[in-house]
Amino acid sequence: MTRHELDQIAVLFRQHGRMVYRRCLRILGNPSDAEEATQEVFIRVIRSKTDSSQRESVVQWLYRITTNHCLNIVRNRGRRGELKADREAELPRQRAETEAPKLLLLRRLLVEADPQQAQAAIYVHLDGLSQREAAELMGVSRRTVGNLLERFTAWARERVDA
Amino acid sequence: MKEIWDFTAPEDDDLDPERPSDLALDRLYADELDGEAAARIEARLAASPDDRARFEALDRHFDDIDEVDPRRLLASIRREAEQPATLMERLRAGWMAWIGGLVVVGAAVIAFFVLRPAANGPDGLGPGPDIVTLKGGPVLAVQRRGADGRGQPVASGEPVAPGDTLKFTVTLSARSAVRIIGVEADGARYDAFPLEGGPSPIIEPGEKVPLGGAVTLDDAEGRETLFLLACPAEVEPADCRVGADGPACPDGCRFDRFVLDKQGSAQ
Repeated sequence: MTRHELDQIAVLFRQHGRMVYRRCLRILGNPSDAEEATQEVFIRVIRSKTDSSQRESVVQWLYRITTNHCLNIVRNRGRRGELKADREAELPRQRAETEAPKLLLLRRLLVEADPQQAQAAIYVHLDGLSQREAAELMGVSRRTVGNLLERFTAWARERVDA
Repeated sequence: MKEIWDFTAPEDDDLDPERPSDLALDRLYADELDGEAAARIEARLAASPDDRARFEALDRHFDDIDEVDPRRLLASIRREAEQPATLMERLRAGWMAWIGGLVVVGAAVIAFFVLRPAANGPDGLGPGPDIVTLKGGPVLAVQRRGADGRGQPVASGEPVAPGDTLKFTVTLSARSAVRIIGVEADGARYDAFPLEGGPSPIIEPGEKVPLGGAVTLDDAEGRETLFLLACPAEVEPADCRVGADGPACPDGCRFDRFVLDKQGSAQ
């Protein structure tokens, strides 16, 4: 790896590292997991040899990569029964008391949810994005996001009832 | 039961629709928004102390997060980046599955490039020049839904028509994250599988494993190329950059190419 590439890594990390960490913490709910995942996201970005400067939106690109990576972690650990205690401090809307139970439930549902539905649920329910923003990130129509969320909710209701 | 309903509906109902999302604030902070969008959010920030506080929080340095030492984190990233993936890392990253799959393929791996068996279409056309594939690599097969609702195999390079409905099967030697990207004649790309985008599904190894969903071809004529991307389960094929000349993917990913010759009338 050249000096220039190492400098690029440092610049990308300084500009967006905190955002990636914040997303990891929100999805994973645990600081040590979030730190490890942040490192893995940047390693993945570096090894993909992708030139981030060619991206129209580096923020959206990193949102997508981080979401996919952290969702995989949640699902893999959940299946192995290794999910750690959720942290409530990183709620997006400062309504920790009312939202903490919902957040806990959502994270547990993500483990077994359909991957596409889980991704839509993260963007809309966890991040608080509009369906239009989620659609743009996922590269699908807003209607598709709505359908994914409807199916996720229906599945979640069955899951809880069971 | 009520809890499930509550975590969805009320959030959309009681939030101010003009409230910028964290994504919008992150993009504003990174100077990625166009002038109009940036001006709209800045006006909102000027009028809303809460949102202003959220935006200012983005400006806090990484050092302000107690539990993270950004210098140590960056040093770890650079150290990892400087080193080629070790054997253990590759195994952790899913190479074990790939190596296992390749072992199963066995002697065929020795013969590097082989010709995929010709699968003649209904009109007797043989496969085009795009069927050379790496033995043991992923293989994409396409079926066209006939008038009787049954699938008819389509060969790479064979003419297809707008309105044709295509279904896919894949042959994989290892458990893989799978995605199919279509590149139209004008270079536009689209998700052929999964149709709704999102994370790529993990598919277990097997012969001609059917993928869900079906693609109905649009009216655009010309050569269209489908790229089957198969990556180790921990790698997201959506991170590949796909152009007309092929995909550029993270390490460990493999691909197969399938050409559709879209013509104006059904064959």
